[in-house]
Amino acid sequence: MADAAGALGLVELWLTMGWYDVRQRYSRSVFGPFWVTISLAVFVAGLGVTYAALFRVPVFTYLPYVTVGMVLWSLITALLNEGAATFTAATAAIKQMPAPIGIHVLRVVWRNLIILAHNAVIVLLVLLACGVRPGWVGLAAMPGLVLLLLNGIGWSVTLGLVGARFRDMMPLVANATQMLLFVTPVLWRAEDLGTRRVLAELNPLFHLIEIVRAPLLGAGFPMESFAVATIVTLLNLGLAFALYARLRWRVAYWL
Amino acid sequence: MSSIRLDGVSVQFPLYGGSARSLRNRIVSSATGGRIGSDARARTCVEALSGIDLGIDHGERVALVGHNGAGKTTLLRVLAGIYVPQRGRVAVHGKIAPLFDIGLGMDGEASGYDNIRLRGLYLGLSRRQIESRIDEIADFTELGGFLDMPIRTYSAGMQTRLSFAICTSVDPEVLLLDEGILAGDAAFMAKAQARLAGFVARAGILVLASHSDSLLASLCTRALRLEHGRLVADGPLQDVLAPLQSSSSRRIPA
Repeated sequence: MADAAGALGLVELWLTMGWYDVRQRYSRSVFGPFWVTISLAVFVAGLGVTYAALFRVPVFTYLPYVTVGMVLWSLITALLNEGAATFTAATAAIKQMPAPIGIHVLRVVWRNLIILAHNAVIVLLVLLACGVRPGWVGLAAMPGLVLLLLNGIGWSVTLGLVGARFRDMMPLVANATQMLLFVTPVLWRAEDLGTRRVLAELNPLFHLIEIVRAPLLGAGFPMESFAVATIVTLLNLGLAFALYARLRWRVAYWL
Repeated sequence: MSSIRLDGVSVQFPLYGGSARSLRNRIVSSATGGRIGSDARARTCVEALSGIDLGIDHGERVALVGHNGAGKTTLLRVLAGIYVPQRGRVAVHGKIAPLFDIGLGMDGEASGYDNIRLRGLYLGLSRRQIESRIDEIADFTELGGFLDMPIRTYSAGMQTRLSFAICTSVDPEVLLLDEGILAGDAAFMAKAQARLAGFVARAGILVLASHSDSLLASLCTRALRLEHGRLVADGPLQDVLAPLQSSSSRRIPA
């Protein structure tokens, strides 16, 4: 508990580390972090037009849906994949400097929030271009985003700890996220499942996306998804906290 | 007042081979059980430190000596709080500044200035405190324009200058230095030793691991000898260093 609070307290440290991470990843490139934005934009544009035809829905309704979905999905996959490498990627720092290792968790989540802020530009442009005006309801996406980020903290702790001990975790997660994209309603809509909609309802990632996506698309506040997402978040954080309390001091030995 | 107390501290490193480390073997072994399972479970441990009892008080300058792999670096990491020992208790009072593998830096891609900021934050300074000291730190390193370049372009000596300057500028009470750290050129070494002498005069605790007897003699008064993770000698520097010198001199045929 004290250790987790200590990590939170080192705000300046993890804010700086996350910021340097983003800056370095794109150092010496002209567009910097906007490269993710650009590639996502190209992906969404191509997909939006083709899949709208495939699903026989108007481009102006499908494009905003898939754009918001993909931006959120790229946040989720980054949190899962980078989460699994939270501690292994910070080996040098952990073995040199005493500090609560939780700072590396916060750094991972923070740097992905920075990337999300860059990607938000596409969402804004697409919503404007397609005439989607969520109005005040759009703000209801904020608590959803907070829940999503809290889950990011949970994933980063759990996958990071297991990943530090078992190095298979990273390829395993990379594999899983690839598969999850196709079973989660991101490219298609939950309604498309018809009577088998339960396949989407059982997927916690669907609810985590829906609580941000629905308000942004002006579809109102999804009460049921929010309730599920809250329970998922609590379970996730509970597991992460229990593991962190028990295993955090072992990490330096595993690296 | 700074102090260090260790009671019966033992540290073991689990050695995960290519097999034991993978999740697959865990799953496979638990599924099949029996002989293979027990093979995969049997973990090899290296006892890096065993049963270390130690007290270091305010103002002491302690040398850590011993052959390679004797446990010097592990002991320093235990003192820094990086390794939590499996058995025993560690109590360190005072602000710690550890200085271990310089080669790694804090971040190879970041510039010298950014590394000063990162390490400073790690050492417990605020952004504002760092900005107010950054010029002084930069002056001490004498690296000039290189501080704007990524530190992966630095030579080992340059990285030493940078890390040393940062760690000693935070007014630490307990300074932990590992052997490789003092790899600067003669001019820098003189400067570094002067700074260490100033630190020692302010009565902090200095723990220095090194193989250089002359360096230890100029900075330390007490010495600890480690052998295979055990503390085999503790006393005034000359007394602890002497047996090794006499035994090595004995080996030289007269």
